[in-house]
Amino acid sequence: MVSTTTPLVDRMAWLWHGHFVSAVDKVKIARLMVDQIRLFRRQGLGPFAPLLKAVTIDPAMLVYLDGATSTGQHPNENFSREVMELFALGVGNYSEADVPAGAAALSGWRVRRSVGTADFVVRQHDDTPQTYLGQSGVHDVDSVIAAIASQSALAPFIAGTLAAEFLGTSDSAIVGSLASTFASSSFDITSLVTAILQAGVAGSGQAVVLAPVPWLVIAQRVTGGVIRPKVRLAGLRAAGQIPMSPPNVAGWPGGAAWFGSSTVVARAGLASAVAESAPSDNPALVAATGTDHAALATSLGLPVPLFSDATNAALDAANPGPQRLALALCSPEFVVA
Amino acid sequence: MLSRRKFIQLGAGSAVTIALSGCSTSSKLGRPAAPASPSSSSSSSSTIPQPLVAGGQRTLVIVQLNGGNDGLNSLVPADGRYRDARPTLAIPEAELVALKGMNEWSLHPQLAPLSKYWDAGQVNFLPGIGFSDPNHSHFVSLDRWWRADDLTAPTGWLGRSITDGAVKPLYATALGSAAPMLIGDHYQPAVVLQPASFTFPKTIPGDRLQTMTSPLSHDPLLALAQRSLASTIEAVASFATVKDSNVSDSGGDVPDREGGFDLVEGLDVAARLVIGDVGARIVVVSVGGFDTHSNQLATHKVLYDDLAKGIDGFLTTVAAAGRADETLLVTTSEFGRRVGENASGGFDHGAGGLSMMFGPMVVGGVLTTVDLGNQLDGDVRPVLDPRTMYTACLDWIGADAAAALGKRYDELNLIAV
Repeated sequence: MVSTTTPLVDRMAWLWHGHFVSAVDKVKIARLMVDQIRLFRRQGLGPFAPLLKAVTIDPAMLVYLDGATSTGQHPNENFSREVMELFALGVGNYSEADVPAGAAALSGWRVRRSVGTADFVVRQHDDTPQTYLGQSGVHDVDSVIAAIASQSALAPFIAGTLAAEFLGTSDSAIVGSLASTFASSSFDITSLVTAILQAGVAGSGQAVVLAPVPWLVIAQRVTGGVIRPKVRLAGLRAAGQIPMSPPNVAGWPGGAAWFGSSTVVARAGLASAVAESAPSDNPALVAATGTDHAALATSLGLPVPLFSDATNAALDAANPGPQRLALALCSPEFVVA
Repeated sequence: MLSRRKFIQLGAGSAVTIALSGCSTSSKLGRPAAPASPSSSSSSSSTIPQPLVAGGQRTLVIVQLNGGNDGLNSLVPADGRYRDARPTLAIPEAELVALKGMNEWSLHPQLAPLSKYWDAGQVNFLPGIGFSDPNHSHFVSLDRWWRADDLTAPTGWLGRSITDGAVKPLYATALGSAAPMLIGDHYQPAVVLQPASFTFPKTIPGDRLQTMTSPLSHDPLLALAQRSLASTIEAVASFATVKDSNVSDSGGDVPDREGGFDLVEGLDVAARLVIGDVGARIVVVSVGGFDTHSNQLATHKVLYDDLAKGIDGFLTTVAAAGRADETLLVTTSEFGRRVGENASGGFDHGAGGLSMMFGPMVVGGVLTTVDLGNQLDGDVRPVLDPRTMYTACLDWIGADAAAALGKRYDELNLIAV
């Protein structure tokens, strides 16, 4: 993410990683997680229904939400519930009876761990037609995805998720408008993202608190600082966000949770390591060596290239160079974007 | 507003700005992750000041088992229907740990270190605890537990009992992810995920950071960042006095446990907070791993071993410091699991679960009854509102239970104050 030449592709992969959650602690095989991220990079800006289908039978997801052990005789409900609650529709937009129905229709997928693929095994599948989300005859992954794609809750749910992420808003008028765009494009994610960016240009966005990983990505990009993997991992663990290790199936909590004391402390440690490793000709480090804090704000890419009086006073008191740069990276102005 | 310029750049074709404008992860469940409004100008005028802690040093420790702990394989019923429903996952009778004088229930073998508290009358078990009209969603259920079933409330059930904004920064501390239960109108809990590294780098002195915290910005989000920085600086200073400098964070050893610590480590930190002179009166330790849809038998051996050793170690440390009489420990989990097993060697989400309360002050025994002949769609039917336990906990720390919960829940007497 730091050195990418396709930032939007990676930005979307990161978004879907936090949305279609799998975690390496249960998946165990790192390669399956990497393959899943590749799936997000490949299809993260395409049409939603094929993405959802690919996620449903993705080997890492099959392991993480127990599809890999779900049989027609004993369907496992884990994925069936979460695909409706967390991935596509939201609480209140499905019934309890849809959970076992979806589990039966999705049964029979097996993961070959040695090669990292998923196979459909007919004899482990329950092909009985189910009534699922109000549709009859649902019996396999394609009919499950089609039923989900027919729900009116899908467009506002996904539009709301992306609006919260990119615009920091849950405004119902904005989300409603984005949902219409999304639905009328046959759930094309690029169309939705384009509409979101246009809404942002039009001033519909609000400031959001940067999560530790994107904060660190930005800090490294603007300072050129490179920190040792061990330091990075320890810092992100203390900050509460390690890629591929979200805490549970809902992903990271986000928002003001990133102002928690553990995150604040860890961010300071990471900021210090980043600033210490910035190359001497980096514009931000050069600016931090001088006394023009507005120039520092500009070189850090702050949207409004000014610090508050409080931050300016702290920068004044800091030693010029890496310490001042590290403080700027911890400043409220840099953490809130 | 702030991101407007970035979006304009985007419109001009600068793709790089997307990455720079931040991959923020917002709350996808649409609930506030923390109160966003600055409380510098309080809207609720305080009534008669109450003593925060009636018993002076009384302390409450909550152990949250994230994922939905299977109560029926923790405290195992003698009811034959238990074995009928669990042909491969019932705990073999020969392995069960008997509870003296109790025929209906036994303990999971890994929970054996806890049986001595039963013998001493210092533990009660609440099988079937859970809200009526249960929801199988982790997140709805957790929210109901955290907010005492008031899902519109921005505050947690314990946080809203903290009416004095001037308490110490570590007064209510979350070790792990359960901070939402501690969020109050007047209080932001301390959150510690990695105890050994909960300190600022030497290269950034705390007084430099302190300078950044005032005056407060007019922008609510920037002001929240400043206030959290200020309270963190205080919390770090207090925490330094109880830290065990010989312990290093476990790092990659336990990647599946949130915050990187298991309960043995988390409750060790909790014990030092309780017995240290840092004003910590509410400590929540949370760990994950209890969402056992698959491979439960092997998973539980590890989890329950950690649970029992963690609780036993905590109670032993607190007792050695002469603080046992003042310290109540309770366990919570968002729900129990199905009565019947699935084909993956586990159990799907259920309803009624299990809570345990430890301490010399508790009314000992198995205080609720679960009837496996009267299930709720294959789940343990909830028989005790969690707010009954909350009432006891709030009473214990001298908080106003009726104010925090809307009313008191006195269905059962759980502690003998």
